[in-house]
Amino acid sequence: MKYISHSLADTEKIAEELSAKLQPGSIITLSGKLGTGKTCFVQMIAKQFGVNGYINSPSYTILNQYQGRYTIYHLDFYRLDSLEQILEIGIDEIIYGQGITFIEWPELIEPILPKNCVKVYFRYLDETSREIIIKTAKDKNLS
Amino acid sequence: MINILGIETSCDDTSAAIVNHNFQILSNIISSQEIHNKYGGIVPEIASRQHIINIVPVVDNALKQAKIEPRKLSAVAVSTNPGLIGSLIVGVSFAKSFAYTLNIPLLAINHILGHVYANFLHNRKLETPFIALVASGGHTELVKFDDMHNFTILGRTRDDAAGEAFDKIGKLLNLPYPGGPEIDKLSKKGNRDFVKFPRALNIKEDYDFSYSGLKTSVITYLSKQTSDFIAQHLADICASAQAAIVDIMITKTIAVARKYKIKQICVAGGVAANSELRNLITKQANKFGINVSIPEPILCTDNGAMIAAAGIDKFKHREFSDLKLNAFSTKGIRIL
Repeated sequence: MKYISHSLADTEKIAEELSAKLQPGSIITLSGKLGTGKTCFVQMIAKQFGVNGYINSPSYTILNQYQGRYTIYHLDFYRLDSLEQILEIGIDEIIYGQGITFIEWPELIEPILPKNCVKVYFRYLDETSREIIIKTAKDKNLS
Repeated sequence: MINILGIETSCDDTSAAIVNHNFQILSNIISSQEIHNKYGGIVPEIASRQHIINIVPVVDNALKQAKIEPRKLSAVAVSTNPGLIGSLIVGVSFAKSFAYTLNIPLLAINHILGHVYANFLHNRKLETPFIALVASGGHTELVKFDDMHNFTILGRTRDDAAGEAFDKIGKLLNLPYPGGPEIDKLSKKGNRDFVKFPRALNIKEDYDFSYSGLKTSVITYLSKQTSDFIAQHLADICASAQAAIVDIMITKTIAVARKYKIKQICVAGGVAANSELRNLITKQANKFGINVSIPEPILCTDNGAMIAAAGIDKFKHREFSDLKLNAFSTKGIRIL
């Protein structure tokens, strides 16, 4: 599914729509260059799951964890450069657990991710507009 | 006579230091992990391996330089959170074994609180209350300290930390890692008013920070310029981005101090090494009769001395930890 968002309010609607389809164990990857809105999108979805308070960029900390209706894992592999490093942080316990997992900069881990994860792609159009493409396992079977 | 060994391994530096009860630094050994530059960032797995290699020689050096024998130590202080878990564990495991072997107390120190304590190493006569601005790669927090046990977080970043903003903007400008010091250096030759980047959340009585939008503004700005223009005006663009990061921190810190009628500001964390921040915050706060304490740059970056300094108060109050102590990565200063 391809969306064009012209504002934060537009993006919020897309986030809400996606939230309704997520359940414990869901994995969502977020791809796109710096400043395209990946962390912002995670903030919006986490809010839907009752996470209150601050959701910061995990670029520096690699993993932030929140408790809402489910446990929310927010991962960011911006600073990592091999799959071994990701495995070392105990990623398997997270992605095969009962939380909802968001992964920014997921390229390194894609080869080992379950087939049913949701992939979200962000593209910068102008200062306030973004192209957001959401692919689920079902979409892939069709294409 | 109190001598505290402080150990800090929360990120890319392995550091050990010895500080006495007068907040006097007897030694402060920091082994920066040069290996990280190659990767344009801190690679945690490598970080933990390097800490394992570094920790024994670094502690050994700290003891030798301070001319203190291990049995003369009063306690071992170690940063337990927040940070990269694999890195923290190395320091915590070492500290536990060292304290157990010597049969001396173990003190668990919050890394952010450690940064604030660097101000006591800088100024032994420092007194509470004060407002602390803690800005680093992973944190941007504005904290009111009524005394060293009672503090309130008044503002935090809602997205990126100030140091992260420096590093990511550095990356957008293809500068070497870490971006912060590079931007600082280039900005000295640039015009801070060249581009008017936005000051986010510039709202009265709102003490939170937001640096994500600034990143986007820089991207938008760069996308409209030719690469020749960017190369030619690199210093101006750096100075303008730095101004946007720094100005809002200064405005909010001074606003908080004035609101609570507090006459002392303490700056801490890696971003406190930024020369523009150091100059401007002092100048502007002084206009309102507010004093500013900023430790010398070596005490602003991650170091063992600040952990030992925080350990002195914990030692005096007998707030000891048992050997079940664990490292954890939870963010911020709240969990001590």
